Amino acid sequence: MTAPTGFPHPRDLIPHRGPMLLLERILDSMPDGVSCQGRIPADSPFAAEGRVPALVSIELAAQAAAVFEALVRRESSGAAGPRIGYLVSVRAARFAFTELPTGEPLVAQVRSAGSSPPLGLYDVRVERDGVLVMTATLGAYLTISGILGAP
Amino acid sequence: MGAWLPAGIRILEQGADSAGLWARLQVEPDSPCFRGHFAGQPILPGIAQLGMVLGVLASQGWQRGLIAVRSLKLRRLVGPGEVLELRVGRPSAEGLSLFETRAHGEVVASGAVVTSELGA
Repeated sequence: MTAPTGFPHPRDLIPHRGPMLLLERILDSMPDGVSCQGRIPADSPFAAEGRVPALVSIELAAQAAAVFEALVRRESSGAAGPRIGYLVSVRAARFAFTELPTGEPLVAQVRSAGSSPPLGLYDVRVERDGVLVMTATLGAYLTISGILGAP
Repeated sequence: MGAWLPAGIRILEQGADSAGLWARLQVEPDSPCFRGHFAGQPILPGIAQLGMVLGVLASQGWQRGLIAVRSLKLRRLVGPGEVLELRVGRPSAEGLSLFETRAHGEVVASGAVVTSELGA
């Protein structure tokens, strides 16, 4: 499936489904990063009364990092199948808000901050309407086989 | 249930001692956290560890919002039905709390978070 941007739909790149699939399209792709749009669904397991703790933006960014790795893999080897990737670390995360509304568009920007396979590091930033929500450095363990995701 | 405790995670018992707050939590086998994460290989999302910290703080009278994660280390995967033992330090004047989650005595996750009073 191809989104209007010409990029694949995130669901074709990562194994998250249902309320845990937070990304809805890829906005831009660069050699060292990616930008994705998503939103937190109202039936998220983290939601209460239409709001979620802003920590859920970490999951959004982690999924964008998984999309980045899938695009790199597709570019370098043609391998298109999703693989599981596990979030193993979060460093220096700062939140501008303690809560976020469900259903509102969010943009996650991811830049590779280093790679020592099977570990990858990513500087991430999440915005809502151009306003900063969260910045962090995420670490992920990328599996060699199997389905891919962000933990 | 404390605010922000992820759906399908239940506090079995909890208390406080000189080291801070503690809780035993049941990750329900059918927790919505596993829905779509992932088909055929259910794994508790790593961010649930942070949600549990906020939930346990709230359940013991500390209604807090997360403003920073100085560090979070996820050391092993958590699956359906597991019972977790969480220890959280009382927030310091700066809001800093250290936490550690164990399962069967094995460290699952640990970290340092900064929280603030909601509405402050």
